[in-house]
Order: sequence, then structure tokens, then C-alpha cells
Amino acid sequence: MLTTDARQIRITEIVCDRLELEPEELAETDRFVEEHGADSLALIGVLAALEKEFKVTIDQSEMPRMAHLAGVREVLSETKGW
Amino acid sequence: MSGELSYLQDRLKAWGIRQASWGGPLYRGRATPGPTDLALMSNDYLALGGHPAVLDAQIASLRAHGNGALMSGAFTGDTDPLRHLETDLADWLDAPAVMLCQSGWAANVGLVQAICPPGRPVYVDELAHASLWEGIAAAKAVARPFLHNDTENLERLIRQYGPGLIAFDTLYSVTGDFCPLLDLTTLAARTGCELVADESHTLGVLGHRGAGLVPSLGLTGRIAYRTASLAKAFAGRAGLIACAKETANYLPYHSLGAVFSSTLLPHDVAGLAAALRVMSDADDRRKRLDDNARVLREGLTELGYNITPSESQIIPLQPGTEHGVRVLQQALDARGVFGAAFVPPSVPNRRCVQRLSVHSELTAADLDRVLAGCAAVRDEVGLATWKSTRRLAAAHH
Repeated sequence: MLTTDARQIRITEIVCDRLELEPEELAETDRFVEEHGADSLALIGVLAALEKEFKVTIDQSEMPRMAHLAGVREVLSETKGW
Repeated sequence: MSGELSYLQDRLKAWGIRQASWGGPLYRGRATPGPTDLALMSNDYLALGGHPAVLDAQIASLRAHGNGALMSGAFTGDTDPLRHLETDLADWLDAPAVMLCQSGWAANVGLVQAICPPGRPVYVDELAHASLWEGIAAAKAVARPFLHNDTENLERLIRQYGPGLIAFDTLYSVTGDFCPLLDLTTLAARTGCELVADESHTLGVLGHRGAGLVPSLGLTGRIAYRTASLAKAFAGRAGLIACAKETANYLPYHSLGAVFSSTLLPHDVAGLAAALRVMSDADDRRKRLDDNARVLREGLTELGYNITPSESQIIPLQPGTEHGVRVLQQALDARGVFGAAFVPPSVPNRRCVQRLSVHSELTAADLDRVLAGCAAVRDEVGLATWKSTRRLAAAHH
């Protein structure tokens, strides 16, 4: 399993990959939709890619909380098996 | 100002700002291909749109029947040529029955709307055609998108939300890659799901007599629904649904697009019937299409373009941004190479592409010209700075 820091870096990479952004373009509390033009499908893609990478299950009802990187980290930290 | 009007005003303003950001026209206002230019924006993969047999059949039908009865397909009789064509298409597809629709859009929306109960999950590939999504919305079903071509992610979702329909394209219209059809079929059987396979870009192109990916893998009995636009290799304006006989008898009276919109015109039917005859015996064209597509994919890759995941006649050049696509399109248009710009909502944000569609009648000289054009514009369009190019470079390290 990756170290905690490595997992946090990996989260950033996965989100940036799905949103077609460079890590330096995405601040911790930048809102994916309002500030980076992400659509709802891209957000579902983020969720699915995170589930796949970290072998966890995230309910789609958590999506409103996953509006920025900080929110993604918070939701992931609460998932079973994290 | 009323809410609706203000909504539209806001949208119009946003659309104006967006178009200005392109720095030039992408659609209206764009240069028109001349007679010596190469039009690679068409889906007429076997170049049947101008085939004499297709044109003669359409002209003869128009002269004999005019524009026909102009009525809903609900009233079409058993002896109508449209019914004969449905039977011929079913034989060709090795399907129990076929229902013809006005378009591929009408086929997908009408099918899902008519067969799927409200609230039921429909697992849909994230890159599946918009008409499948629209069908899910029309049915008031619940779209459960899965990662593109990822059956592991799909299985996870099915375990979470229960059995339902699985909707996907067999060949993706922008990325040019195939679905993992065998895996999808196995997964559907194991989880009690039914499959909706959109064969729009494979009919005429793949398999025995060009009947598509599903029969070519021997899976006709295991996929409940096949749909297609016939505005691709069929070079017409129609769509189809291949399904069980009972369902095909139900759809014309329950699929709202079929009930409330007039059916195909007689010359549409005549043209499609002629195209089916030509296409069934067009292995030579299919071979040339396959060869041409391979030459172009390999040539573009050699020039440094990242065209992954394409494995077909659909080849995406991937600048990523709308502005990048406009710059590329203008540069290629000036060299007589006319592709098709795909920007949202046709693709996800920042995944904009200029699509080149190959057809069977392109000559070696034509392909050389496309590659020469793509080679010449690389610096002008900043190929090295595209995210897709950098991704390719990273993959090689």
C-alpha cells in the first residue's frame, strides 16, 4: 500500500488526469465545476477512477461534497478500507 | 424579464464569449472544401453516398412514389417496401426482427424510453452516444455511467445498484476504439443484465457481408438490442433497432419518436435497400477501408500525433482545447484536409479533437496528402505542447 503522502499525491494525479489539468493548475479548494469547467460526467469519472485506484466504494450521493480536492480527500478519508 | 428569457439571454451571451475564445470560426464561417480538397469529416465509410446503384434507386423511387404517404410508421402496412427492407436487414444482421427509425438518435431514444421502467439503473459507458443518455432521461431511468470500456468498474456498479440495461457503442465515434464486447456479454449474462449495443460505426465496415461487430464475434443471440444510425456506411438518413420479434411489433406503437413523427420517405427506403445490396458484396471496399485507416493511423503516429486509443477508420487528432482545435482545423483546411471539430457537448471539456474519418476510396496519393498536411502544420499548431502529445511522451519513458 502507498504511504499516506503518496496516496495524497496520487489523488491529485487522478483528479488532474480526469479533468485534463496540470497539478499546478489545480489549487486545493478550486471548485472543479465553477473554476475548471468540469461537467457532471467528469466528476463521476473522478469518483470511479478513485474507487478503482484505491479499491474503495464511494456512494454517488457523496458527489456534492467532492467539489474540490480538499472535499475529495475528506470523503476518501471517511471511506471503509481507506 | 422572465426567468426563461433571462436564461436564454445568459446562454446566448456565454455562447458568444465562447465562440470569441476560439479566435476564428469552427463551424459556420469556416472554409468550404473545394472539389480537389479531401473531405474527411463524413461518416460515409464505403463511399456509397454517390454510388450509381444507390442514386438510381432513389431517383426511380422518387419518380414513382413522390414523397409517399407522409405518415407515422404506426400506419405502415405489411406490404410496404419499408417492411421488406426491415426483413432483409434482419436477415443480414442475423436478428429476429428489425424496426426502422428516422435516425440513430430516434432509435436509441425510442428504444430505451419504451423498454426501460422509471427508476431502473442503466449502465452506460461514459463515452456512449448522447442519444443513449437521452433515452435514459426520457425513460426517467437512472444513468449509472461506467469508466470507458472498463468492465471491472461496470461490474462493481452492477453489484452496488442491481441488474439493468448496459448501453454502449461497439465502435466509439470520436475515440475510434472498440468496446470489449465479449467481456460485456459475459458480464451481462453473469449479472442478469441486458445489452444495448450501438453498431452505428461498424455496420458495413466489419464482419461477414459487413453486418457489424456483434455477428462477427458470433454474439447475435446474446445481445438483446442492437441499434444503429444508417447515416454512416449506409449513406442514408435513418436508424434501426434489431431485437426480438415481439419487441419489434411493440415499439412502433410505444416508442414516442416512432408514433409522433413521420416515417421514412419511399426514396430513403429505396436508397437504403440499394446500399444494403452493394454493402453485402463489398469486401473489396472493406479491405481498402481497413488498409487506408491503418496507413493513416501509422503515418500520423510516426509524425508524433497521439491518436490513441483509435484502432479503426475514426482517427482523433487531440489538441484538447477548443482554441487548439480551431487553430489545427484552420491550418489543415488551408492544406485541403477537412476534418470535423468535436467540442463540448460532443466530447468532455478539454478533450476536444479534430476527427479524421477515412473512407474506402481514398487513394495512396490522397493519404500522402493528408500526412503531408499533418506534417507541415506541426509547429504552427504547437503539436509538442498538446497534453495528448506530452501524455504519449510520458508513456514512452
